[in-house]
Amino acid sequence: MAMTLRLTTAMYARDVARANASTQAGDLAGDGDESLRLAMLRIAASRLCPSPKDLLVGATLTALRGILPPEECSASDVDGDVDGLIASGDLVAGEAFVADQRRALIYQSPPMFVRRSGGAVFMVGGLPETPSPFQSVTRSRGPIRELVPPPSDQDLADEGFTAFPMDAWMASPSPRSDSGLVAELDDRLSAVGNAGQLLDLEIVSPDADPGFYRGRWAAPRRATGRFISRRKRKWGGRAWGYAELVNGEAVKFCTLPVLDGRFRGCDEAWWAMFALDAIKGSRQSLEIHALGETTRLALRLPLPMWAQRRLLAVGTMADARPHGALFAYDLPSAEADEEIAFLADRLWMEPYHPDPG
Amino acid sequence: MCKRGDEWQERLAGHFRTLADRRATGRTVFALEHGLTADELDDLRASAVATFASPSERSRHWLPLAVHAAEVAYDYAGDEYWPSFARKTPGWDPTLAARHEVRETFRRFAREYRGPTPHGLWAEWFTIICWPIANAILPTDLQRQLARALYLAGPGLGQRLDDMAELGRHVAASAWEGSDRFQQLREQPLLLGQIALALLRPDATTDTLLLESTLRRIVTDLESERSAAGWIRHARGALVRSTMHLSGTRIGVDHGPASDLLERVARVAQLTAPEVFLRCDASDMTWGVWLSLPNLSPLADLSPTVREALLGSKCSAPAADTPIARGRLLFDSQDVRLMRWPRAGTPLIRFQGLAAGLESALMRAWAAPETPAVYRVRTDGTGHRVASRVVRAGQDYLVAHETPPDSLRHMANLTRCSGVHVSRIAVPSAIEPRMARTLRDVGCRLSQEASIWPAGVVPVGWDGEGSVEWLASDVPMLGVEVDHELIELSFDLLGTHRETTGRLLAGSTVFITLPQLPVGTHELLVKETPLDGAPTTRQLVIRIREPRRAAGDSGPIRMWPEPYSTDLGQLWAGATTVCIAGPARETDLRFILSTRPAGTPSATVRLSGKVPLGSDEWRALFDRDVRRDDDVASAFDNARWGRVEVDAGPFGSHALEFERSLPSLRWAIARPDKAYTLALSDDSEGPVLPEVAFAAFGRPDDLKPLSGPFVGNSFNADGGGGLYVARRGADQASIVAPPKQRVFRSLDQLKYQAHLAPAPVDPARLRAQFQLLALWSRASLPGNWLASVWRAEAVSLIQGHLIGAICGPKWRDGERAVTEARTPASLRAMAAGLTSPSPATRDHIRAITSGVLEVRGIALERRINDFRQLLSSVNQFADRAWSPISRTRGPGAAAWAAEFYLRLATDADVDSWAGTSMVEGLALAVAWSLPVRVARFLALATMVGSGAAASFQPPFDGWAWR
Repeated sequence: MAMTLRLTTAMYARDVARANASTQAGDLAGDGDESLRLAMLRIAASRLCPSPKDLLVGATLTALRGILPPEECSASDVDGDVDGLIASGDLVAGEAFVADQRRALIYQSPPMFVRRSGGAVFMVGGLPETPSPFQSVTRSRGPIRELVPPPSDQDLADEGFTAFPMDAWMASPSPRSDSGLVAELDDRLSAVGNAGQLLDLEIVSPDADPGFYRGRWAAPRRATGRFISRRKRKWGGRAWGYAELVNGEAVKFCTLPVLDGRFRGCDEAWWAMFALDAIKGSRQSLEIHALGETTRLALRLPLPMWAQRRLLAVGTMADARPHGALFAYDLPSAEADEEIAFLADRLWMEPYHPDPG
Repeated sequence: MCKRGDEWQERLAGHFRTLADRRATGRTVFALEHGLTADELDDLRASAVATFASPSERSRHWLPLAVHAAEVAYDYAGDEYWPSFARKTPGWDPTLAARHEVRETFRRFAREYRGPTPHGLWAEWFTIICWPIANAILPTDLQRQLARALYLAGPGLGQRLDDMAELGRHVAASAWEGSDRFQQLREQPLLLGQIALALLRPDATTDTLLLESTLRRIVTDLESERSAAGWIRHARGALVRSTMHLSGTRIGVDHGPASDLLERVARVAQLTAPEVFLRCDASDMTWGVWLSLPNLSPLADLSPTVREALLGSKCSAPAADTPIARGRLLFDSQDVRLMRWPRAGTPLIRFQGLAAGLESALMRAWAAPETPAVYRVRTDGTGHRVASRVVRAGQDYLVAHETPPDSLRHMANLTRCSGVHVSRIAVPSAIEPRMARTLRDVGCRLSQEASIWPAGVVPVGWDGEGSVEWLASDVPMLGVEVDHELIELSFDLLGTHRETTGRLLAGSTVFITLPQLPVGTHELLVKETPLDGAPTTRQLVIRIREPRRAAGDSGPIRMWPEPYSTDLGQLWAGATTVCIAGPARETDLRFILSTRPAGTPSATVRLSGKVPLGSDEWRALFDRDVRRDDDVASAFDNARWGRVEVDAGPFGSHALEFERSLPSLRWAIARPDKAYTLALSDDSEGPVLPEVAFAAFGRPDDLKPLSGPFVGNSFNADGGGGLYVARRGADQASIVAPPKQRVFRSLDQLKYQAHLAPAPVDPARLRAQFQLLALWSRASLPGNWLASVWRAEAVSLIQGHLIGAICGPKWRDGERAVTEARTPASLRAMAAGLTSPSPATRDHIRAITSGVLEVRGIALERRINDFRQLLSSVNQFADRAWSPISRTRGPGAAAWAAEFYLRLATDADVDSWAGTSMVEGLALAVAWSLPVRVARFLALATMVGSGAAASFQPPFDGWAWR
């Protein structure tokens, strides 16, 4: 730490940011901007939670202003990071009465850990305003903080970490068929009243390439029909929903989740996207790469939290992902088949092995 | 003569002599540090202790006696020391003289081997047993409390290991929850520091702090309890981590640690200041004015004096009508809506009853902001004040004026808060000269300066312009972006550190790292020298503070007692409740009782509640599912300790713990069969025996003396139940005994029935009746549900009866009708009794009673303030009775009288508050009873529409005076 005032460059400022970030994230994998963003978001959470999502996003963006290029650190990126940390268990989405009104707030999870079947450990949550006690053995990969080598349960308990109960970690909604899921959503949407005026609505365009997630979101224009959608709330965050549109105007809007309150709106929206793709005859592809003892699974659509957590219980997020993939997970090959079958069954995915060439 | 006893005496004398010589001066030697194995202790008991029946043997073998007494104390859990001692000391005669002998033994131990000398309030109450207990170092039930204190003290432990007294003070300051006996330990920082250091560094002690075998024993016992073991492990972990503490030259305006408590209070208050902010009400898009109250635990940590003052004084926000949840102040932050804009410089929070010096230290940092006040609109629908009033292009602001300037008068006022005009200003990205003028006119300072932000780490606070708060562990850095060309940009950290850039082009970004700054407030001056125009200098306020550890809570659930108390009896009686905040969901709760802290549960009740859970919801839940359960009620009678747990799903569980208060003079109740027995304990060991009196439920106003002896002898309570009072000097203990358990043949038998003698109107005799009322209201409650219901009825009955004596029988009849019907119509009928020949007085009554059904939502201070207007006619109606009050209290007389009238009508313990002025106050009330009727009218209004069980703290919910 400097002993006096010192002018510095953006490059050195980045080192300072990384040094601060390491108090929560340990060693940030590679030089990734995403890792630094996520680590700064964890610091924001440890200091500001319970907090509205936008405040966390704003505080993270401010801390990284001028340090990361704007194209690598937009509000939308950090907003997605919050979702990532909710899926990884670091943050919890909830509602609380603030000034007699229900408000969506983000909470920091208490210090907990998940031990994979192979013995590896990753940690979630933390104590407010307190650096992580395992900095020197923490390796951050995306939203996951793995401890290498893994400490014993006793070491973790000594530092106040409790095991995340596996039944809660592995919880998932009850299985449904693709058409059954969409039918349930249709029923719920039919039951809601008039939507009123909805601003900033985006829908999943049925005409877009299902292999390019970001490109699937579009303005409603003159669309008519029922669509997975999302809209910006007046104060705080994004609402995910299922909408009925007539000439681009929303006549009904059903805020997700409606089927299982344990999961987020985005989880239900992504689940429904998998189902709708399957019904249309273009099931989401599950790209499988055999890498010796490891099998890499690559996806082009975000996984609902319950599916992501299941993969993280046996494997890790991959350091590299195949071209065009949104996410990739490395699993021990011995356990890969079971997980592939799960994804094919519950998310109607189409497993395939690309040509090695 | 016991030869074995002589051998033990000799061996222990040699052992303690060696220990005292080896241990540095100022460090205590404890009788528990005898170094004997379990077998040796058995032998000591079998040989030496067996001869204690003989005074001469006791005198010769005083060290075995000290060791034995300390061993008994090690298992002490705050209930009965002497019965336990007698059980383990066959043949010992439990006379007062024999007890004094035990004390003398320990005094000698203190003289000869530097044994501990207990002092503090607890030692004054428990004059003999405090000696063996102090020599037991850390009796088992205190071990958990110390472990928790060490856990909470975690972040600051590492820096204090070299100074035991400072370590002790720090641990004491972190542990403001705990029993009276733990409080005693907190009052002895050196001793506490010695024990704490031994527990934190068990490998490094080598007998210099505590005998290794004794320490091992304590640690083993402590770690056998799961949560205590976790707390200790965590505290030791914090020790390893805290080696990063900063040192070096202090710079800036921080002048080192403040030696004076008030100065320290003022400094910490600056770092925990309440904030006036704005919040958008989405229903009508207006902006409410809110006061954000910080978690005040950092202030409470400063000293027990400050803590007690914060917990004990009544807290209110003068600009708010809603009460402040005082219990929550030390656990969590909370927001309170302001109905009136607070005048600049006036206190944002008042603590009634706080020492003047303390209040002024707080007020210096907690005064209302000046207007115009500029608020930056955040994306979460809140507006936060920009202290510098600097606005920037492209941003949204709200500007608050007490009197809006002409340019804003035509704009709609965006708030319903009175006394302020709030306008919204969207600053365009390109600012025309006219717009710049307008902004200046409304009090904004248009930024033509570089944009500065805290970079590289998210600070704990940042107002967006000129005030930033970092943690001491952060590497602080600022980013600066210039939007116009500069010849140079210089930074000056209050004259001690300077740095200057060269020429900077418009659009450049530079970063500046700051040196290590000590905890406190610092100023950074940033000077811009532009290519054209004059240089400008701006000030950045930098605050550095230590991390704050929540009281054991992390994750999405927050729980706290409201109002603050950890007394199990208060929880049972409903005088304190449990509040839970967090994500809205159905939650499982458990209420556990045990005869020892964290001991085997004697009762466990599962409850289901919905988070967030407030005081009213808790009372309803607790009354329905806990207090009405006979088995739980019996378990409560024997319980020393209780715990409320909330299941936070995958995030584990959160808990609050409660202990029974055990003053030196106290009652215990038991129900061996259908009849209740009472036992009176007196640990003060004084020569004067307590006097005991009884008032039956059937005649609650008739307190009759009983003849004893009572101390140490249990006796059958009266079959009809009632109030038992024990008094010894200023000490007093009262308990409600339930009616004898019987089969009730009809619901009528459950109904409370009593007869009262006509109440006196002579103020002195009337005061005696109010004192009896206070005894009933303060009495400990047994678990029995009927006892608490009848107690509440008895209190209401006596109070109504006394009010009837002042206001007349017709008024009394009206009150009965409201109490039964609890309808607005029944209350309206009472309004006829609120008349006065004076039109002004009638106006005052109208003003006070308008919107009377909302009175519960209005803070007590505001109710008193509103009531004061009625006192403007006091000379006209009660001249002679008013004179002594006016003479004694001067300009504060009307405020006192207003509070007196309200308390008289609603507070069963008004006598404790009024003290020696009670008789004068009653004389005033008898002379002019109209304000009593108005006050009762307000009190009765809180009953309307409420079906609340009458079994909780009587007489009126919504008038929580203490």
